[in-house]
Amino acid sequence: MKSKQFIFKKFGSLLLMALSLFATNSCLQEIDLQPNDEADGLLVIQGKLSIADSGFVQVYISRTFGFKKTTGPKDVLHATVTLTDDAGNEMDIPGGMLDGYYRLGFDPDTPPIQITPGTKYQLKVKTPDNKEYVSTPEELARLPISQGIRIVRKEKEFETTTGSIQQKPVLELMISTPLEAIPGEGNKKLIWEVTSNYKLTDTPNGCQWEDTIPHIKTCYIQSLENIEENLFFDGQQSSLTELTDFILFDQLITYKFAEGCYFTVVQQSLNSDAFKYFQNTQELLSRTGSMFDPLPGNLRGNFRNTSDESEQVFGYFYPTMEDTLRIYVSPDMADFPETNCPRNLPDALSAPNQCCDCLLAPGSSLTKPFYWEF
Amino acid sequence: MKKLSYILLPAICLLFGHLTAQNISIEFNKNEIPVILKAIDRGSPYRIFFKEATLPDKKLTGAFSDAPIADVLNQLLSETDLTYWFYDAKNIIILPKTLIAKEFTADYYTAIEKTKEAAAKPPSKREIIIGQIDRLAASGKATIKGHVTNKKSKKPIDLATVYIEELELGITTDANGAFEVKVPPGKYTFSVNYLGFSPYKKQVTIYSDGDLEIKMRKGAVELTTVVVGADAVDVNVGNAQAGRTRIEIASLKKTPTFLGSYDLIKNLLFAPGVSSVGEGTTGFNVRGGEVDQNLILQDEGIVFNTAHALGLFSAFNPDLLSSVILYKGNIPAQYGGRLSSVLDIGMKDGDFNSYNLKGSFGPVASNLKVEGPVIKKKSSFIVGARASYTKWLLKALKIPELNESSSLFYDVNVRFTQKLKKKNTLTLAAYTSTDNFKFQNQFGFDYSTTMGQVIYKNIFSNKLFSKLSLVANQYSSTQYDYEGLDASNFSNSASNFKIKELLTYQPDKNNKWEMGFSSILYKVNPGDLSPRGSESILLPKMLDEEKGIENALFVSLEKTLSPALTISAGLRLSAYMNLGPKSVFQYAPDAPIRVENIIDTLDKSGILASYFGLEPRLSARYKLTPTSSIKGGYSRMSQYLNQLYNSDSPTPTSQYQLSTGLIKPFKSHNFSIGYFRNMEDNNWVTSVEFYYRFIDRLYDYKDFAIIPANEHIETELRIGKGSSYGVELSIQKKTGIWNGRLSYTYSKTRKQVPSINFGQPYPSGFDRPHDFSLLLNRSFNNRHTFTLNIVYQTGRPVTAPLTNYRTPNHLVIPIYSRRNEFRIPDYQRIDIAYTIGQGYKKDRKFRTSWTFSIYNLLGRKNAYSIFFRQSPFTGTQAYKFSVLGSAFPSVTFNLEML
Repeated sequence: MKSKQFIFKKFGSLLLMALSLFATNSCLQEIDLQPNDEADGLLVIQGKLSIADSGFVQVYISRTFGFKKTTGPKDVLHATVTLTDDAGNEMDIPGGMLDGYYRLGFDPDTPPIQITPGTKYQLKVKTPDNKEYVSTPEELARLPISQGIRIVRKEKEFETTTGSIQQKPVLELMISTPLEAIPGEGNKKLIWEVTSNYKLTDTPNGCQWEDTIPHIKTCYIQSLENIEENLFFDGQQSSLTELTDFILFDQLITYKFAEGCYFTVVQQSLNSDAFKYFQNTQELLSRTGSMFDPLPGNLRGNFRNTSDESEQVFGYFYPTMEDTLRIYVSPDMADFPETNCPRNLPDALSAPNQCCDCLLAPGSSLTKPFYWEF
Repeated sequence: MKKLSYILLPAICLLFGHLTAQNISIEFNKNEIPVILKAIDRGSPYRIFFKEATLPDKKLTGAFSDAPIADVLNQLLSETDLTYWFYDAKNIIILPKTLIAKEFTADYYTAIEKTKEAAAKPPSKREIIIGQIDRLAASGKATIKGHVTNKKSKKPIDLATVYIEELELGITTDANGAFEVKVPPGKYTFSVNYLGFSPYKKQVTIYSDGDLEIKMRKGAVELTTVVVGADAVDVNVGNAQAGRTRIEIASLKKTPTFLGSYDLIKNLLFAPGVSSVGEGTTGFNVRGGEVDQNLILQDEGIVFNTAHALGLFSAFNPDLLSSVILYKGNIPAQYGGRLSSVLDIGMKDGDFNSYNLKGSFGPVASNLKVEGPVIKKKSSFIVGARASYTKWLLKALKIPELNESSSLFYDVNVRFTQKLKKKNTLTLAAYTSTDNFKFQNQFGFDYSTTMGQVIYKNIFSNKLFSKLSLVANQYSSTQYDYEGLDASNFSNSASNFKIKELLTYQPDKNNKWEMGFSSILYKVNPGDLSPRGSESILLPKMLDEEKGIENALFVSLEKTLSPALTISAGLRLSAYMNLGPKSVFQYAPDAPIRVENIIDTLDKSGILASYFGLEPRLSARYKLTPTSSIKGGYSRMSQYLNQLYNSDSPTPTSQYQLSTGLIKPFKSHNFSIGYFRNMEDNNWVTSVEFYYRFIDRLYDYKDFAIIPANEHIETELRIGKGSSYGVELSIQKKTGIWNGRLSYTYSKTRKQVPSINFGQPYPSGFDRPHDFSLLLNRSFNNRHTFTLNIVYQTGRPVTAPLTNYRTPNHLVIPIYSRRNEFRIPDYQRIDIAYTIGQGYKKDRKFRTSWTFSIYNLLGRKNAYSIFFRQSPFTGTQAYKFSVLGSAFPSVTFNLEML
């Protein structure tokens, strides 16, 4: 559950509609703002130590980039990354040769350094320009092991472009989990990442390039579901000891479910500081501009330049325990939605598309994920 | 004059049957000209205005058949020095030939229109008539030279207040008891007051220049008329206090309205130095101060919330107001507890002599007021109510989501006034205001004020009088979240009990003392968060009630040292105590005030913390000429009650916070100096005023502060200092065909708080360097007025996204600028209104008027805020949120029954 600060933000987003009750015709409009390049290029270090069935450390080092930039973030290569615990034990995290990612996987039973709940870990980064950055020590919190996730098909009201209300089918993804890792220890702060992986087979009918396609392929397309917000719950603000069928999100039934789809939910535990960081991140992501909006703040991470405290460094490093759950949504659960292929487009617009070549879909791969059974 | 007699003269025969649009038929046989003119007036569609004494005694004989009126008049006036003039198609004025050649002003024609009103009713025995219509100056104004004397001693009365009610125009007599005023012709009520004398009130009909002798009797004085008396006409130059603005109540109903509701607060925004964050926000900002730094008094009661419907409408019923004065510079010593300003709203007593009913009906809300005597001349009542009908409108609409929604606001004022033993007055007043809002079954809020007050005014002698007041007041608000696992109610409230005694001693005209005390007990519920419904899993939170008592002793002296120099010096000694019982957190000494530094929690009672404020007030006025002066002043202010809100401006549901041991009171130094000049017999009122305010203790919110239901609220605040300075220019033309006000303010407001904005100064959220407004009235005549408003303001500062970064799972996180580093686009708005005022016949049993207005004529979508959103398809996009997205036409119908 979010803090009450977020509950009030709901007022803000709804206020836009609500003001119409006073016939004020309030409105939102896109505007063009001149991008400010002054703050581009600042260092961002994002790291996670994860313990689950397997253990890994992943660090992504990049630089800030302007809103109008189409190239995306500039990765920082060839940095030296070291993980340390509060006893001074260290392990190097390799990577950064081709992109800004530094990764190290390990067997959680035989880690390079001991990974245990209650221990504090921190990250040290040395960039190629010989600047050293260090994160504040962060404690690894225990994780409640979830009881499962399930999918329910429901009808939900949507407002059409003409303003009328229409019922449409959605799938609700729900999770059940205790909030305590150890009975009596107290509720934990949780965050979830949800990804989907759906199957898409080429439908060459109508494609101008039909003859050139060597064979009909099946792709597996992965995408992050909570792209616009963090999903988290502050168990310490709740009167419950467990969550039952807690709705993570709902999704309209689309062609995505025509050939089957997996949802993967990764439940993570966060310590208080990390949770606050994600809470603040969410506050910035869900601004509505109304009079109920909290004032935006300068999002400070937990890194600092060891020789220049005034340098602004963004990003966060946190240790977490993870619990991964998956559920399969078969086409019949979704009432056999249409595939959206082939696309009946005029010739002039019939450029190669994912119906003709499923590898053109973002996040697409021909490799069948290990968990696919169907 | 016209219609003095309706005696039918048989010698004159007017043949109505032959009448056409312009022509008349008439026969007269040895009749005097006035008699003939009266017959024409009576028996034809023409109305003829003339002065009988100017007409010759000549007797005429003649006959006209279907003849133009001009032919008839030409013959009648052929051997006189008179001529005639068509004021309009049906109204003809007989006047000397010498006058018609003059170049008449538009005011002259308006004045002529006024004469019809004056002539519409025969004068009563108690009525005074001054001047003659044919003597009216071409300017259209009559100069009245008056003289006020003691009836018994025949001595002149110095500094008597002469007030013309219909014009809301006041003036004081000079050392010879004389006064002079220029007014358009018409019927007026002259009220004259002087301490120790019975009030003088007379109906005076004015046609042209003349003298008015007023003889006053010794006797009791109603204190109300002394206290709520109008300003002298040259108050801009003569008053000792700079930064004092009086809002003309009469002008409220001529300014363009938003959805038909006359609005005191929106009108206040035209005054220099007063601004707001934008439409749909609560309250107003004075000289860069926060909204909660304004003390708003309805009589003696503190008003916490001035807004209905989140600020779209104001909470004050304009039909019940008697005076509105904004002190934004040198605040008198009797007021305290806020840093920026005092808005002193005086409420009307009911009519002691007759009943009347008045109402305004707009598209969203309506006002109704009824008043009258309980015991004639002894006691009176006045009841005013306003309510919106959006709740019923929404139900009537065939839109499901609106059917499930509701919106309602109303306020009610009840006031009873009793005169006691002629000298004293007892007033009982009650006020309640409620807003209720629900959007579908998703969220809602309500907020309400309940206030009662008792005011006892006592005149001990003609030099000493007192005002004792007792007030109880409660403001409460609740936000409702109806849905989901976090469904909740969040309530907070602030109440106070106040006693105040104000003693005024005026031994002579050069000295005026004010002294007294006040004591206010505050009780604040900072927040009560409770789960709503059986599904909610929210943990309930109920914060301890906070209590504080603010006591003050004050004394001030306004002394006239010479005709040019007047000073006003005062001292206010405030003492505040934060009271238990309450759980108090103990933080580690020398450590930052953070939750992790709490070392103990103590349950305390009694006095938890106490603060004293020594608050000197000083102002002076030096007259350079009779029409110009320089004023300057200084005041020290303390504030012990604040509103907490981590948003652009407070909302009606923002909680209140008393000063505690960890949250110390705000303090400010206020300086101002200005040059004031009136021109054209006080018709043009101008001023330029410089101010500087230094706040040596304030707080701001840390980044991502969490305010609601936070028991460690002090950990969310950061202590710092602030300053604001600026120059205010005001040019006002009070009367005339064109009148209005132009205001311009240039100002800067800064805060500096360690740990915010890297310790560097930053603009406050209310910093609007350029603030321009023009309120222009064009009076076509006394009934028809066109009003134009133009508003321009620099966009307010905001913290805006500068850049962003991407997370490994592709969320794009915005990085915001330094605090308030950027500005939203400038604010511009044009409004217009056309008012069809009340008819001229004052003896009608009911009067009606209409106001047609268009708010935001150009439909400009002024930005309230700017924010950024991202989506998988469009990337990151900047949006602006505009509270008003179009022009808002409205019609208001006003009805008054006598």
